[in-house]
Amino acid sequence: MIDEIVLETQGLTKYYGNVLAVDHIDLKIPRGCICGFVGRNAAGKTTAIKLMLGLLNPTAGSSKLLGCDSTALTPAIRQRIGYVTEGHRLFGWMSIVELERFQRAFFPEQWDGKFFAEMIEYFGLRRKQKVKHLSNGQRAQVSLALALSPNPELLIMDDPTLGLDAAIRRQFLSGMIEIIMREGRTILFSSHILGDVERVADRIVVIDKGVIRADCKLEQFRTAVKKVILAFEDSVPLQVDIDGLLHCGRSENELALILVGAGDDKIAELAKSTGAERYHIVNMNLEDQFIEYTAPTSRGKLFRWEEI
Amino acid sequence: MALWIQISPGSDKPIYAQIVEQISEAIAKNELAAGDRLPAVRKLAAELVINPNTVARAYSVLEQAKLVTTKTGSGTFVSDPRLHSRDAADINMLAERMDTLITRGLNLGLEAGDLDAMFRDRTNKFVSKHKSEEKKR
Amino acid sequence: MRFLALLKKELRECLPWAVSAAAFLLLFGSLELRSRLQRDVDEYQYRVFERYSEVSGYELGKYPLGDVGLLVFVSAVGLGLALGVRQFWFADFTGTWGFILHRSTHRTTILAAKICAALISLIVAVGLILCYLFWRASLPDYSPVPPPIGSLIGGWMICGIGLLFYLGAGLAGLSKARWYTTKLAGLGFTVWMFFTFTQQWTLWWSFGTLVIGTGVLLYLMWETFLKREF
Repeated sequence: MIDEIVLETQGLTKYYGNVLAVDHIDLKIPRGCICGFVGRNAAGKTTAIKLMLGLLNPTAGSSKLLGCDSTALTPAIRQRIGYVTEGHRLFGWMSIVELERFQRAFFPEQWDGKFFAEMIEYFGLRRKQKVKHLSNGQRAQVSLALALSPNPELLIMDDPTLGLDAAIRRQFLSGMIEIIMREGRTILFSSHILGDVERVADRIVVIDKGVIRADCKLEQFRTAVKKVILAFEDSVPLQVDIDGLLHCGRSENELALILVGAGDDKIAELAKSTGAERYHIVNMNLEDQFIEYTAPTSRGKLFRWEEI
Repeated sequence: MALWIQISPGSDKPIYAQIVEQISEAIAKNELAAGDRLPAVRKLAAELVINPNTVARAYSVLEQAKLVTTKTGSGTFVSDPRLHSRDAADINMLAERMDTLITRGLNLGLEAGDLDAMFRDRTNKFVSKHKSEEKKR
Repeated sequence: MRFLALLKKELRECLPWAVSAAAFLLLFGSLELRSRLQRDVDEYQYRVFERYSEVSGYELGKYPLGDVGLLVFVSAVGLGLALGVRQFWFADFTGTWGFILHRSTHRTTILAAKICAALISLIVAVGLILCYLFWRASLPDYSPVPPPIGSLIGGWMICGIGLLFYLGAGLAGLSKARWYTTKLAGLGFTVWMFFTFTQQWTLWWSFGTLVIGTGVLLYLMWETFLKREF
C-alpha cells in the first residue's frame, strides 16, 4: 500500500542574494506522519517552511502541499492546512473572541467552536482578553487553538514551543497529541527541543546549513547514530575506515568514532582490524545524537544519510 | 491498582524501552497481576504526552516477550505466566543479561561470593513481596 | 463572508487614524469658517472655497492652497499616508503577514479588503466632513452667497489625492528594495502625479490625472502584493 504523500519537495532551493538558505531539499512526508523538523539556529527551517507555504518564492525546485504547488495554493487547499507561525504572531488589538470570529469566517463548515472554547478554558484564558495583554505562552496557546479548531488535515508549525516554559510546553504537546489521535492528520513541526521531538514525532528530518542531513523514522535515527570508543594499548591509528563514519576524535590512547548505520558486527570487525584492546558502544540520548550528527565534520565533507 | 509510569525523553534509553522496562518490572514485582488490563494505548499516550505509536510499540515488544496479550476490541492484558512456555531463546537472553550484570559487578571489584549474595537477597525480596501480594488476594 | 471578515478587521485598524483625521478637519475646518464670519468684507466670504471656484488644477497651482482647502489636503494626504503605513509597513514589524496571508482566500481578496477599508475611511473621515463644512458654509447665516458647487468637487478631488498618497505609501511598504530611493519610488510617483494634477488646466484633465495615477498605482500594488515574499 502506497502512503499518500501530503508534503513533497523536489530540489527546493532558496538564495537570499548570495546567501544559500535552503539547498536542494527533497522531502516526502506521508499522511499520518508526525514529522519533527530539527536543525540548529539558522539552519533553514523557517525558510523551508515558508517556501512550502508559498510565503517565499523558490530560487529553484518545487514544493507541493496536498498535491498542490506551493506557489499556487488554492483557497480550498489552504483551508485544509493549519499554520502556526514562528513567534505566534497575532493581531495585538484583537481579543480572543474577536480572533475566533475572524478565524471562523474562513472555515464556515469545519470550525469546531466547542473544541476552541474547551481549549481556551483548559488553558485558563479569558475570552475578552486582548492579545497584546497576553504573555508569550498564552499567545502560543491561542495560536494553537486557532490552528487546531478547523481540524486541519495538515498542520505545519514553526518552532511552536520556542520561549515557552516547561508547563506550557507540556500543555502544547498535549494539544498536539490530541490531533495525532485523529485519523489521517499529519503534522510537520520544527523544533530546537529534542525532548519534544522524541515525545511526539515518529519521523525526524535533520536540516543543517540548508541541507537535509537525515530523513527517516525517529527510531531508525536513534538506533543508527552511535558513538564507539576504541581503546588502544599503544599507538592509536591515524586512519580509520568504515562505512558511515561521521567523526573521528582522538585522545591519548582512545579513538571516539561517531558512526551512522554501522551494525554491531561491523563495529566488532573494526575493533579487531584496528587492533583495539577493547571497545565500548556508548548509549546516547537524542540530543547528543543530534549534536554529534550536526557538528562540523573533521573531514570537511558533509555527510548525508537517509533511510526510507 | 494504579499504574505509575514515568518517562524521560532526555534519557539515552528510547521512550518505548522505558515503558517496556517499567511494565516488565511491575509484572515481576506483581504490582501487575495476571489478567490485569494495561491502560489503553491512547489513554496512556495522552497521560504521558507521547505519540500513541510509541505506546503501541512498547505493548508490541511486551507481547513479543510474552508478558502481555492483546485481545482485539478488549485491550491488552498481563499474561498468565503459567500459560506460556519458556523456550531456549528466552533462557539464552536471560543468560546474556546475567553475564552483563556479572561483568559489571566484577569490574566494580566485587567478589563472586558478594555477587551471589546480592542476587539471592534481591530475588528473595521480589519473591516475598509476590507471596504477600498473593496472600492478600 | 471571508471578505467581510477581512474588511471588518482592516476597518477596525484604520479607525483610530480616520477618527483623528476627521476630528482634525472638523475642528480646524469649523474654526476656519467661524474666523471668516468675523470679517466684514464680502469678498472674503468667498475666500474659504474661492480657490476652487474654477476647480482646475491650474487654479490650485495659481493660488497657494489655503483655508479649508488646505485643511482638506492635510487631512486627506495625512490619512492616506498613515493608512498606507499602517496596512503595509506595520505587519513587517509585528511579523503578522504569515497569519494574515495563510487564509482560504485569494491574495487579491486580502488586498481588496485593505484598499476598500482605506477608501471607506477617506470617504467618511475626509469626504463627509468636507460635505458638512460645505453645507455649513452654504447656510444663510454664514453667507448670503453660497460657495460654488465646484469647490465641493474640488475638495473631493483632494480626497482623491489622499488616495494616491495611500497607494504610494502602500507600494513603498511592499517594496523589498534595499535602497531607499528605489523603495520610495511608489511615493515618488505619487508626488509626481500630484504635481501633474496641479498643472492641469481644466477639471476634467485633473480628474483624468487622478484616475490614471490611481490606476497605475493600483495595478503596481496588486502585482507586487501577489508576487511579494513575506
